[in-house]
Amino acid sequence: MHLDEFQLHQPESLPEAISLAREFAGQFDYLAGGTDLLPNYKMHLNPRPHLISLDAIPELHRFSPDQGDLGAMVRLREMEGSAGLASRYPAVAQAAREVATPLVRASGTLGGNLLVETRCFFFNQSYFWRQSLGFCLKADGDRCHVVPQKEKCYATFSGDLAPALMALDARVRLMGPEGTREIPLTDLYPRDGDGIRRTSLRAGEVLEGVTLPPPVQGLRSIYLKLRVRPSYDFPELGVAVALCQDGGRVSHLRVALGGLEMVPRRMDALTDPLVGSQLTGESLRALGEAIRSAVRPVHNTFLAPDYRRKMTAVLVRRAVRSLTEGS
Amino acid sequence: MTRSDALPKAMGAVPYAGDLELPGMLWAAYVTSPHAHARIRLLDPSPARKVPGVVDVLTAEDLPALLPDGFVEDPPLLAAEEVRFVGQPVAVVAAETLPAARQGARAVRVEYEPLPSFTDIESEFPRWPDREEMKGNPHVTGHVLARRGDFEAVAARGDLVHEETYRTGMVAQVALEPHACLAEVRGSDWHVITTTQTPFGIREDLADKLHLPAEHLRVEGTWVGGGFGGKNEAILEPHALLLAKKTGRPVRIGLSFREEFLWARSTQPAVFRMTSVVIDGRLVARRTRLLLDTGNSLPGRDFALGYSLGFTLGPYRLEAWEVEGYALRTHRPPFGPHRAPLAPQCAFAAEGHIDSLARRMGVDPVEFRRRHVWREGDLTPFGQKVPPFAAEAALREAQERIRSWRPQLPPHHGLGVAVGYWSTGTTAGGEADLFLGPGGLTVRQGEREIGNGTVVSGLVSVASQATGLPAEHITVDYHDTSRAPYDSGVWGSRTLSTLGFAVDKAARAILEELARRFHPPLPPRTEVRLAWEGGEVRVEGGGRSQPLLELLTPEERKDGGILRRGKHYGKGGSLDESVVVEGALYPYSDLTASVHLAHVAVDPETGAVQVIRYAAWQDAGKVFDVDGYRGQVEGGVVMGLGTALTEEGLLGPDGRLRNPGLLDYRIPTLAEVPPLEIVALEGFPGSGVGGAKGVGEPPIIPVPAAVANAVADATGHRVRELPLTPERVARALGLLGSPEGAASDPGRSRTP
Ligand SMILES: Cc1cc2nc3c(=O)[nH]c(=O)nc-3n(C[C@H](O)[C@H](O)[C@H](O)COP(=O)(O)OP(=O)(O)OC[C@H]3O[C@@H](n4cnc5c(N)ncnc54)[C@H](O)[C@@H]3O)c2cc1C
Ligand code: SF4
Repeated sequence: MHLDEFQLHQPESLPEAISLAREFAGQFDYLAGGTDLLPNYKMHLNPRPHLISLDAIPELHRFSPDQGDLGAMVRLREMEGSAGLASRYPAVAQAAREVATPLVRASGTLGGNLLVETRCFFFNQSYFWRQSLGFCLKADGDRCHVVPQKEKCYATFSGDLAPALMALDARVRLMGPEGTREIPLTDLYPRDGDGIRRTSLRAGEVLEGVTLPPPVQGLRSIYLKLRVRPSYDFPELGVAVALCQDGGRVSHLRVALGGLEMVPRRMDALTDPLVGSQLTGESLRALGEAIRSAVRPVHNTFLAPDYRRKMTAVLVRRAVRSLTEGS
Repeated sequence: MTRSDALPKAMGAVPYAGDLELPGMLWAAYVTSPHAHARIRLLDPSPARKVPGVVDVLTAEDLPALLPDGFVEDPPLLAAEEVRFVGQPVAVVAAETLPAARQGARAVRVEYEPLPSFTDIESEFPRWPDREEMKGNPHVTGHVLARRGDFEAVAARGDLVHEETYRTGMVAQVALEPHACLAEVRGSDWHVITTTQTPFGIREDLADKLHLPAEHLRVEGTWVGGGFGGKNEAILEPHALLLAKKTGRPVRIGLSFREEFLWARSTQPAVFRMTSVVIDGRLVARRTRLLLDTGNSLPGRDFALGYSLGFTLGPYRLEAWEVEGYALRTHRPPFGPHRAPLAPQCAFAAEGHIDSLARRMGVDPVEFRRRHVWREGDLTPFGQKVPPFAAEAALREAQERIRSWRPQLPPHHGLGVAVGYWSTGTTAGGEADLFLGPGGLTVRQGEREIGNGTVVSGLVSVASQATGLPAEHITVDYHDTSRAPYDSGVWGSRTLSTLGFAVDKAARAILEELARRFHPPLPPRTEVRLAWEGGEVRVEGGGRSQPLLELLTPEERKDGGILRRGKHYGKGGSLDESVVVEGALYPYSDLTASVHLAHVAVDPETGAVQVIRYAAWQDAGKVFDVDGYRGQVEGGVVMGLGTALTEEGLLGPDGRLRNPGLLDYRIPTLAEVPPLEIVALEGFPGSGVGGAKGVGEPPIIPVPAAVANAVADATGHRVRELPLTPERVARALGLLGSPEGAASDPGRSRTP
């Protein structure tokens, strides 16, 4: 498969990038490592005539895990190898290590991973294949083949870093034609969207970087990933847990899930009630089951939804257990 | 031995068919069916002709004019009225550039009227079908029934009758080089350069498909980036030749990886119903009933059914047995062989079945196999006398290894053994020329190196061992089918053992001739050998040594050396025809055994299986090149681990493959490979050169069964469907609420 022609722009500053974005409004994509975008272009999935590369903007490459400050263009390889990141935010370093292959991680970036295109059996296909079914809502068509209707796309969010960063209360800085804002990472992924536009990013906005609050005393975190092939695979489920205990009682608990639904998701409503309580086998099982019944994967990836839901309960329990053991 | 192609390949310096260009060459792109089954209501290539750069479009309408002598109409080279699988070629567009060809292909107007499609054999035949009922069934393209003794009668007096159903799915070969070819037609010279395991086979296939005399066809093999059975058939070549004929210019066609998965040849699903009968603690009878999806293959064109049924009985002594199978034509892509066609699937059923039988009886499954496995001199079910056969010796070694591994096994770990056997294609003949000059020896033959080393190191090793000349002074030379000596191809694990024989015979003919030319004469029957000394070939024998140059005739000196041709056509396989009730069974020739031992860990909560370590004992006959041999066994095991654990073509009910790409069709990577112990058991000679037995296919055969048996050992639950994805294992473990055996169909989940 071949790429269609496009024009590549290589701005050297953020203002320059944003003015290019204004100039080519609706006609461009930002390009980070390209490991997600370019394979999709090859399959003719919503290609644009202009690409604005972010690689030449120095400040996007900053990497200060000790300050909890990560530029969007930091490569996954740098993250997985960072002792600072691993000691302060282990779930994030683990998730970075679990993405794709060493080769892809050498190009793939933090920002690209958070904004990775969602995936579906009926979408990640060649033009010929998609055309044979009359295309679908997410590209070139007007219907969904997974959940038959014409409004909403249920393609699965399959990035590994988002749940890990969400569990650690990350915020993202966004810069666009209308100014700069900082929002919790959880707000980047609206649950009430149509699934076609997958984030709350506004037109022309660059994801500038991620900030992580300093870990509170005793905070532990972990990321677990379910997949078919151990060496590399998109997640069929990703579970991140951050936990802090105080004298045997939970003082802080976050569970975030990816690889399961249209957006990654934090399960605060189900974990908040556990704060202040003692974790028991029973409460843990109940938490797993509650999460299992709250999630709604659809059958557009390799493993069946009932299995992935069941595994959500299993991996949540396993993750929490491994954080409580030895603490 | 260091392979002569290793460095150039690592440097990217080896040209493959998709790299080749000829002056004035056109590029081609396919228009293929988007439907599993549909009527073509309209086919209008004219919009494509208006695309800038497009030169011509080939459709079924053009065929009669291009092939006045006719062509094979079913399957049509290009669909005319009906399409029968997703990806079936409907038109081919030739253009000055590849993008123009692709754009042209998109512009061809085709209107289809979708028809009901048949893509899931089990939904059509949920129960074993009645023989009478099947007689008029249009899906049935092959039926085989064979037996010895009265299975039903033995079953009626059995102490235990053990019945199970095993299922296997679609697997693709995934050669790293996709299909590609380049064709040129000048007058009556139809010339195609192509990536193939068998240049002569392609010539025959083309002669058949295009109704051309073989002498008008010239097939030239290129370097091949892996075949695994996928490059035995003329798939793109007819279209490239016809477009070249029509346009008067050379034409190149290549497939993308997605096209490879969608419509190049793959092994399709199969359902095995297995029954075994035990009397007095002994396995006495077995019956197999097989439904085989052969995709859109034509009646009589698939050999898989008649070849594979024997493997479902396993290499065991039986008093009574019965095998019956149906080949079913579906709206899936045509069936293609996949390294030991269907044998890993048969072994998965047969060896899973014997394992579960032994466990049910409370007997050690390896010991149980040892009691029943063939030994030299036994008769196989098909009446073949068992030649030297390493299975029993290998099982003994496996038992020993289990004794050392078993005591250290942590919880949720298990060990599984499986036996595979195979009949290598040693009956298919071949010829080779050897040319010996003072500067070295050249092997001239028609095969290209397909990646396994059988040509660049296998044939060279044979020539080196036959003559004594060090391998670095031996080169291999290829020719197209108009000049190369005939050979039947690199398939069926036959090349070294059979074509090697031809090389060996040519070498001996040269040595005998040279021995006669010594002056003064050597004592009768003195053998001579070649040596490299002082920068030239010398001939040594009877304690004397002479430069080769001095022994050549004046004509040979003029030609640069002495030439001899070796021919080897093996004995036919053997089959007692009296066992065949209906259809055709294929006789087996050389029998080789593979015994594998897998150590796995199963995650009891997720069903994920990890292979911790693996041992393979291979019935070797004679090993010529130790590294090459090991490479074949390693490759077979790794490929088998893919079939066992991760590889599965998911075809939706609409006949479209959901995962036609390397991301979602998961072949193992190096990181998936466990520590491998590989043992070549020599001492059980085969009928190949020097006692060799083929090794290309056998090592993949027992892998899925060994892994599944290890999972059963670890968990007490058996997964009877391939591959053993975490989801399937979890279902078998009852983690999703329907424990094994409770639901009618534990392993099956549907593709959306
Ligand atoms: C073989 C293979 C396996 C993979 N496996 C995994 C996996 O296991 N897990 C996983 O999470 N991913 C996987 N990926 C996807 C991808 O490689 C990673 O998600 C990677 O981190 C994407 O980063 P990138 O820099 O290459 O993004 P790009 O491809 O450059 O961009 C992705 C998207 O984000 C946008 N974008 C990127 N950066 C910014 C920014 N700063 N501001 C605004 N928009 C931006 C782009 O416009 C594009 O839409 C895999 C990819 C391949 C090819
Ligand atoms: S979920 Fe539906 S709309 Fe979204 S990509 Fe899949 S088929 Fe298309």
